Amino acid sequence: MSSMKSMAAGLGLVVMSSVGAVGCSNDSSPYTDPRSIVAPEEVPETKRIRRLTADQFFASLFVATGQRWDDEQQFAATLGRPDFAEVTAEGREMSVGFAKLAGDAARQTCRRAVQQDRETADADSRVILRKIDEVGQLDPFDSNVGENLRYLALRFLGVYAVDDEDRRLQPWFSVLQEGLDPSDEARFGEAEDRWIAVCTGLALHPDFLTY
Amino acid sequence: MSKKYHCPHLSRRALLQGALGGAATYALWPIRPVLAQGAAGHRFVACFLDGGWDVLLAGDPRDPAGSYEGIDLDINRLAPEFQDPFPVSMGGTEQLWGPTMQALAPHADLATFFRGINMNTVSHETAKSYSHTGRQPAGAVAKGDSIGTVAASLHDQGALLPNTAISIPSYNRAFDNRFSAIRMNDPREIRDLIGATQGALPEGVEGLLNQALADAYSCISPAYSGRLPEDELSISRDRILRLQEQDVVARFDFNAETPEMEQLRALYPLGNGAGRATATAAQLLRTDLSTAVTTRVRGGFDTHRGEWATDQPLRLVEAFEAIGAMLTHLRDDDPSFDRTTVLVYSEFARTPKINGDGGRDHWFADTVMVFGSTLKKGVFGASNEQDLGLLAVDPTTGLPEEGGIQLTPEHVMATLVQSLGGDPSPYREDPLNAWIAKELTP
Repeated sequence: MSSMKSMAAGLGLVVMSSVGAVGCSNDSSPYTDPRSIVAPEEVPETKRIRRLTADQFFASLFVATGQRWDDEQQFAATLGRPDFAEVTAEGREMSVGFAKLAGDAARQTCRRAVQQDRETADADSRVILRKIDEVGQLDPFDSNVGENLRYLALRFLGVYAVDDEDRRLQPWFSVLQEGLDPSDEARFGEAEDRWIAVCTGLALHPDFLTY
Repeated sequence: MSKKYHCPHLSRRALLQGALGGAATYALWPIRPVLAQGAAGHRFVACFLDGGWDVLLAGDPRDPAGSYEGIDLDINRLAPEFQDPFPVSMGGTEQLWGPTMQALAPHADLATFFRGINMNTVSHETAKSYSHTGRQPAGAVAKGDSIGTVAASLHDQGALLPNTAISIPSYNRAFDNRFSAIRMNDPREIRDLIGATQGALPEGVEGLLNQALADAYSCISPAYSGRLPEDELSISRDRILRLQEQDVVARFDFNAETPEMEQLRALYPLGNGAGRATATAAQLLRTDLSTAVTTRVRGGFDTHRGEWATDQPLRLVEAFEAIGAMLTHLRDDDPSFDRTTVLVYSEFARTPKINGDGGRDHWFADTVMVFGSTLKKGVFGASNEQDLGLLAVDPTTGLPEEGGIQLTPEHVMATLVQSLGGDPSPYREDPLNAWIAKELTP
């Protein structure tokens, strides 16, 4: 054991002398590695949060829900679309105004998408309820709810969830099922609104709206 | 099977709630209740007249009794009411105000004018970026921060919409995101922004949706240092809910049959966009929703042809009547403007000579008007009496002096920002300290 200690001490001396030789300096102050790990709170805030532009948001919402927001043109400038005369830069900043209008847009398009899906017999033609077998009477505890949520996570957020246990799906399970009893007829009452809420939530998710 | 549907990630939720709690603390501190009376924060309004105003009809007129080598007053083409400037006492000296400015005359006791400002360009785009920020742009691209952004950053005390921009771009390069302007393309959109959620779901479902958004895991967030996207969105949702709870939207329904709206209709010319813009700006301040508002009051000042003689003065009158009404309204609860500053500006002026089409083209010697209590009252600077050209002025007296400074937007903004308690160094010009009556504490 003592021989091991001696070897370690010797190696240490070799390493120290090597560093000294490489450094070619008589300065005895400790060397600070600039690559050292910095705590997250010490990282300077150099990257501003950037959201989708107005047109990217409109296009993304259309691709995700299959529906266009009625007020796109009315609020495009307010959401940051440049006029290329006076304003040449796209608005990309998060704000109360953006959050409010994005919420209005998401609710309208999601409502239309879910209601249209409920009238579409061909499952592959549906946008939001594609994996749900029975759309006439929506059941929040339908056996395919998890599969449909995985499909929506992929559609809206580009997230591939392997199974229903994925933590990224849990908030949406809660939206659909919290406070409901799987054996109670009342569970059908708000099912459509809850699916609209899931769709709306995914369209307002940071991963949908930001880079 | 059903067991897995119940969210089992309490630790994750607890973590998120902790983070969002911090975000909410940031959003709520220090709380200033909406509709609070007598709130202490300093209010700021910037009123922009779009297109380049004719300062000879407004802030830098000439006595028509005189003769001017390089100026065509052309008063015979103007309606009689727009031919004669009128004298106003500013800071103890008599100054001429343009004939279109009668609506501002009751507020001359609060006025500081900067005349003969070198805009250094006659390009609309460049001059707009320059005038909004007080810093020379890169080409037409603004380099600095809008003055409204600076003012909001100095005096915001937790307003829900600290900085608002109506029909005008706003820039934020140096300040926190919360001071970026909430933009509206039209003042009427304020009701959409602060009103009820369109297509709202049943209350219980909305609650579940909000909870899900609070709990949702973001893959984007690790790419950010500092505040996270979900924090920003959470803060915004919180503010929207508080706006809706206060039902403050009614304060912007100018057609409502309420005593307050009747008073506003009597005060403001709400039949035109200028009146709606300034009334909205004033209400944003008076409801404490905003600390700083920048609004395009009116456009249509780019009168290169014969319409100069008719449209330019009428549009100036319309804009000044709207601004005058706003000043009256804001003086209602702050008579001496101890906690209010109003800036009135345009991107540049119009030529002293009438062009071949009977109008005036772009001219670089501009005027800026400030109504408030932080600056010395009177007129700083001057344009050449004979040709509306630029003059060097003494930085202390503001009077013409050979070897003095050439007044620029940087001087004006540095002075204004210093008086508001901010840092003038980004403007790279010394503030005109002799013209600062008092410096506010941010």
